[in-house]
Amino acid sequence: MDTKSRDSAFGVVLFGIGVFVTAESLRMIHVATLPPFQITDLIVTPGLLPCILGLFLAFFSLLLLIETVKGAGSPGKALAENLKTAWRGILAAFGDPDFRIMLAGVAWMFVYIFFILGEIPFWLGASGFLLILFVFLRFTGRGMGFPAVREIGTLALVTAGSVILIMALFQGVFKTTLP
Amino acid sequence: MAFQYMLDACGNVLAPYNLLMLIMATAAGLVMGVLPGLSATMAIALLTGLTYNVGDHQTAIIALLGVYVGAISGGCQSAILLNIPGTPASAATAMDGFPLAKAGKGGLAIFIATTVSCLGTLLSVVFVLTLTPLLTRFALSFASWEFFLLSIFGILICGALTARGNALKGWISGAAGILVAQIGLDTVDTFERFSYGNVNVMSGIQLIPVMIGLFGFPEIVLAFKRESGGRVLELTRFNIREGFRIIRANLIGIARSALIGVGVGIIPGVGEDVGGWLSYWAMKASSREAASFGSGNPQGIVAAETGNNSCIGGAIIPVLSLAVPGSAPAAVLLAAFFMHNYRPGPLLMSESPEFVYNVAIYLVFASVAMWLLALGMARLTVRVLTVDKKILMPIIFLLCVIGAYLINYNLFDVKVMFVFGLVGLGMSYLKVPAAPFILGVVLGPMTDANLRRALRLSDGSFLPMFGRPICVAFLAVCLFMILSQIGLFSWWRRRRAGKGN
Repeated sequence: MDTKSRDSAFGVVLFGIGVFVTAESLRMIHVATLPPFQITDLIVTPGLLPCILGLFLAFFSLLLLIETVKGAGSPGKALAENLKTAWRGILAAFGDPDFRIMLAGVAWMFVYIFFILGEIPFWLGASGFLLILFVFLRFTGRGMGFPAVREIGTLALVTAGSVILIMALFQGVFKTTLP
Repeated sequence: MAFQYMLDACGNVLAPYNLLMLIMATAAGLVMGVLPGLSATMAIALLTGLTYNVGDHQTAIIALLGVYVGAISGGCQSAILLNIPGTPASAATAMDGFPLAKAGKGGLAIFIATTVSCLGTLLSVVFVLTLTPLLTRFALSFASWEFFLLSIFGILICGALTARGNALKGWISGAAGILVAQIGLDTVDTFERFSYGNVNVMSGIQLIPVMIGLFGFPEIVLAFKRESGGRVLELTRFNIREGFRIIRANLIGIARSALIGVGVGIIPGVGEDVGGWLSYWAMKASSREAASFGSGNPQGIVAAETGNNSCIGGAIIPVLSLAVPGSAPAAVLLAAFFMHNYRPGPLLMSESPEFVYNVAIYLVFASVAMWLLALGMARLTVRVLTVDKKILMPIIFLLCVIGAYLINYNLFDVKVMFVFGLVGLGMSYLKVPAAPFILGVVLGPMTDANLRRALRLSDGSFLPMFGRPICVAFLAVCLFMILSQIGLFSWWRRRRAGKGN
């Protein structure tokens, strides 16, 4: 994906964020006038800076969008074309093996943080997380060839060693509680 | 009194436990610095969480400064032997370091880089000791308007200098950072902002999880790719005598680079990488051997490494005197200082004057420890470069999780780290710099509180801002920066030239 398409997509998303923040700040300004706050002076309301920032983000995103269509005959058409290219680029990324590996890795991190961490003992969750990620990365790193049993054994040893070391350091030396 | 403070600081750092922590932290910093992808910011952010529970605050500060110095200096080894800077700070070092290593002088290049790194930090300590009290005294004349404009100035200049050609992206990043800092209960009226009734969000977004996410997460995820790194060149003998001869011949260049580094360091949010590049360019511009720069001229290494390491002291000066970080790693350091019950800012010299001297002395010991360790452990640290990143990065991720968790013993912070990790990943893809974002998160509360306080005192009028000389200076610089970045001056010059023709 070229820089212009990328920046166009970013500009559109950012404009949306800017508008949302501004609208939310205006709601804040209204809420602040009600009890218990009763801040009626607009200039000192808690929504002042968020409102300014929302407007700034929307303004900056417009400047960014203008930059991406600078020199084009029809700015509207150029922007639409950039957005189309960006969308095609996103779809094409799913065909890239590296992107898929990173996506799977991020998904596994998400599962670990949101569903495993804090639910089961730390040593168990961390060991499972590391071993599965190690095996997955070794598996994908060699063109989808599954690692040999001996190799998985080595990875299990690395996992156990890492978890024991981390727990010894934090619980033994720093006297902290792990999640 | 100052001498007494320095003696006490020496006593602190020479206590066996603290000395051990200094050595361990500096060694850890060196290893983190050597590994491409693990930045100094991440190293300090990680250690801030990990040292949060260390009983003695001095021990934690010593460890944090050790890891800072170690990480910035360690980056040169991979830059020289792998042509991939371990940290962005060492990017300029690779220009001449790698060709020198290819010519079989890798050991000499590492010796020069490490020694001038140590010298750069030591020279910057002189500025910490002299400029911090001066700047603190100057900062005492700051009121709400000045602090508000200082934060805006910081974001603008950081955005302009770190965005590499597109200041707009840097400013967007800074504005987004300030916005993130507005989440939670506001500091003036305890009004709930963007938290939607969630108790965790109400207490605000913590800096450290944001920082670990923004700087650490993208590097971890990008290491999952199938491609492997380049070949590590052999570490030859140091050739110490030749190294010292080159350093002696470039003393003026070292002094100039240190000055540039300290100056860049003082500018809010502008990091060690800019210090390294500016020093490199200044050395090249003034050298009689300018043509040989880029093909293995040791002067390039001398300038780049002195410049980036003297940024350390430079970046700490505004941290101590204004509570405004000079670079991204210094931003974490600032947060760490607050967490360890120190209150950097204009009142520091009256509330805890010993702290400035402590920091200066700890920096001196950290840089000496770095020099000894970097040269003593070079063969070992270089071997770290051969460790498979697919093994190392998942372990680093686990440390990131623990680092984020230990700040408040709250799993919510780990989730924040993950979310901002995704944001960081997106920013790195879109080439939006992360440093202004972090600066925004740090300065956000100061911006909001001072703007509203100033407006309250002036009955909602912006006019008093224009009657204060420091404010006018800040406004003029900000305006000049915006106009120059959006190309107004060049448009005007072109127009005038067109009329002339």
